[in-house]
Amino acid sequence: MDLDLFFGRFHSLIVHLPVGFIFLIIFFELYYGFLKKELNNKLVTLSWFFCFASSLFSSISGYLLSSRGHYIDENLFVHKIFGFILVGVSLLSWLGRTSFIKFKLSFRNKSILNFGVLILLSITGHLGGNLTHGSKYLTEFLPIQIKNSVAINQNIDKNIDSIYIYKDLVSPIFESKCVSCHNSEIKRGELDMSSLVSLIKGGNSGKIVDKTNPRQSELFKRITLAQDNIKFMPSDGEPTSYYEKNLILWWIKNLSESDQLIKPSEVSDEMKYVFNHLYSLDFEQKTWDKRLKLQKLKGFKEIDPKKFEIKFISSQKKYITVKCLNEKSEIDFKDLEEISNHIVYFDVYEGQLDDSSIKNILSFKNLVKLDLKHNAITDKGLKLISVLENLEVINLIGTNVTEKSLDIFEEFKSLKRVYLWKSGIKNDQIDSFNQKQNKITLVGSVK
Amino acid sequence: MNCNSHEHNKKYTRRDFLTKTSLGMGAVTLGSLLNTNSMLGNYNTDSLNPNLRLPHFAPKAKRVIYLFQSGAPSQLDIFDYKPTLVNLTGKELPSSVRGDQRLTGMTAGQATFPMVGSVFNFKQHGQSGAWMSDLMPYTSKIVDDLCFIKSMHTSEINHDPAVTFLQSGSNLPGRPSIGSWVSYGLGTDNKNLPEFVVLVTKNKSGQPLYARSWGNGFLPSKHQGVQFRSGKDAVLYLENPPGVNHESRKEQLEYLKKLEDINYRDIGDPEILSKISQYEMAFRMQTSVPEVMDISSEPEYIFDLYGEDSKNPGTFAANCLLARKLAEKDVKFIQLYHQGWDQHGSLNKDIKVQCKETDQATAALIQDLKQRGLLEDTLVIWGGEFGRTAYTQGRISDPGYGRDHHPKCFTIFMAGAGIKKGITIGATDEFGYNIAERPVHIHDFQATLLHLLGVDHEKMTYKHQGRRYRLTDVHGNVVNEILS
Repeated sequence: MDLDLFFGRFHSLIVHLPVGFIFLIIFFELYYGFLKKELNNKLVTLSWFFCFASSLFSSISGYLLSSRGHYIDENLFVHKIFGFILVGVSLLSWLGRTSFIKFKLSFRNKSILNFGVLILLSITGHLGGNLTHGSKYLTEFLPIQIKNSVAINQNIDKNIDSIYIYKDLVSPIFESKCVSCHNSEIKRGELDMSSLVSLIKGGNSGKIVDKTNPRQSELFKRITLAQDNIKFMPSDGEPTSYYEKNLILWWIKNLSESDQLIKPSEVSDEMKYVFNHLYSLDFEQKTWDKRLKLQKLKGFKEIDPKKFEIKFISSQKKYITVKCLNEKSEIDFKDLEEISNHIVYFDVYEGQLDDSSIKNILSFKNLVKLDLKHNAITDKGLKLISVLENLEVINLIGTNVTEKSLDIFEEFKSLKRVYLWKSGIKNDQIDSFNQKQNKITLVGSVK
Repeated sequence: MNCNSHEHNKKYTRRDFLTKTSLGMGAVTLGSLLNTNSMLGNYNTDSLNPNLRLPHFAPKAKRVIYLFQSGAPSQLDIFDYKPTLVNLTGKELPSSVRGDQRLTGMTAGQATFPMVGSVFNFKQHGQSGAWMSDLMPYTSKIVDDLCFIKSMHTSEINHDPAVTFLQSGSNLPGRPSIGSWVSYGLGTDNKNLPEFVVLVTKNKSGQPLYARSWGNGFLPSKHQGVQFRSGKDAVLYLENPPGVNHESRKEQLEYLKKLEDINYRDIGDPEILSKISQYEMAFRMQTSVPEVMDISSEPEYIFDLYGEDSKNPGTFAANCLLARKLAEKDVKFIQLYHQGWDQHGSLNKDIKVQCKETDQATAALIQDLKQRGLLEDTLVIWGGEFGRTAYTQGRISDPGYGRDHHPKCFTIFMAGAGIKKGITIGATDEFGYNIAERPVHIHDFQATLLHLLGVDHEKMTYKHQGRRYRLTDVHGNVVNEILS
């Protein structure tokens, strides 16, 4: 007989009674305490008795429900313990107001106890909610600005070519919807969904994912049944969404024994939309102005217009282009300190920079384009600036870099194009480099 | 002509009085929207540059070189490969294909409309596999750097309205040209040269060119394109008259400025300011223009690259070389005009001449810009004002087939800043008559061009005769597929 479960399921009904009772009576006490008026003592005591009784029944039904064990233990444990404590505290609150025992609560102690009850109730209630609806339920529709500021989002903040299909995309869905019942300890239906290996192994009814026939896979069938079907999964909590179903189907189709990196070129437009919806994954290559996160520049000290030509790139006033002028043979990097983070283009005049002074450029953290043409830069100088992670374009025309720099180019994180006319790197070296990889394009002289 | 400027007492018209008193800062002329100085951001950025509104966002292109092929080159003989047309040459163009589209008076009276395939051989080139005929061997070699739009279309069927439409966004004369809008909106990067320079191939005939194609329309006149000519005087009347030296010219201009300042305080016509700045610009150009026009220091291999014509000033090749030099000097908008593509008859013979004059230099310009790192922020555009028909005008043989004006589809290509490389977008039907895929209208093209310069085409406006005007009128969508 499943009588225990029958009563257990009343937990979600009864549990709302103590919540209402406790809040109501505490507000009454607070209100009358504030007005310094007498409250009907009998009614108060009776109310507190209801609080205690309803919380007792809640916790008994809750205990029955939890004993069937398809919740993750660690989440349940705290909820359970807090629930029991709440029963105890409400018993204390009731007894402290009755006349048939000697013990009486002073006004001050009542207030402290009331406060404690409220806190306990909130925490227990919240944990219980998390168990049924998942921990993201409450904040799911929080306005995105607030969400970002308190940093609870599930957007994946990784480069598009370093995302693992199972680990980063699929398993978060299973974690939130399936693993509470199907983990290595509880294993309902002998199924453990907490790792890729155990997932592929399957459960009581055999394998649950079939690459050759994804739609007939047990896993996909179960999440797409009618919701009132006894076999529908997940049996508790939020069903999988349209997008999650799409993602799971796609994952089954492309299943492999070991977790693979996602290959953006092989993802269809429709799936890109799904990924974007679920994880804000952007398959479009982000241009630098969308990637850099800079604030508008309010103002800065005047910089000698004879030394530098300084311009905002756009009316957004975030990005600055600096052109060094011919006036001096050395660059006064001190003058640029204040705006160094905003410099995205830096144009060095002929012969102003060498292998030692080039290190000053490292302070331009958001530099995107660097024009070093006709400066005495060698492989050593280039190596120094290879840590600039936003640098996309370098003009090395007429510099002394040699073929040793070919390896250094690959160390730059965002490098896309390098201009090498009249440098120490020859056209055939450039051609073989370009053929070898497709991230960076080297441009030599016209053939 | 600027119809906004009142003859007398500009400052004190009733309308201006009301505008100034009711809007306060609104009276700041839109003409000062963005000059060089307001681009300089040294100081408190808000208090000193309240008018810095452009570019709206970070531009991909700093400058544009527009190689305009006036007269409309035949897309069907150079880019748009149509084997069906070759197979069906001589057969009547199905009326279902033509529909009830209008034709020009030149062929509307023709009894038949026989299709004519290109006599030139087409091949795929580069890794991108772009189709090109053997008319353009040099350009064929660089197709992996180009982006073809094969589905351009326009609303105009005759040359002048079509050129006017393409250059100004309206088929009626009087609107500012693209280059003028760019000059007005983005200002200059080199105060010694105009923002908008025009180079026209010499000794060409065909459809006439009008200076209003690079005119400023209702914008302040300093934004009009300045034509650089070949020969002794690149810019007419720029040099001092005989007997006047540099110093006395300078002194003369200073006194003139004082007088004009008084004049402006009296009348307040913004054209006076335009005039002063043009006098000063002309003075600076007395040194800067000869410098940029001097190609004697170019090495021999550069001349070899651009072709034999490049040593002959005024040819398309020489102008391409100049365009590169102007780009190096940060001129914002450089427009070349090459006439002679209007081939209603003997197209199969004449188009060879046109291609020979332009092919090598076009490819050379793009490669030369590329090796110098200039293609990074320079946008190069090649194209005419419309396309040519799939049917012949006149007989197919003797002296050769011709093609009439065809606004329904044509091909242009672009290269450089912010543009995807080695791609083709849009397609025409198998007859090369209608667009089958992704139409791109002139206004879309203009919107995209402005977008690459960091300008939202819907936001850059100029108020004239009571309404705000844009280059794209009320149309235009950015062609996002070609943006890199």
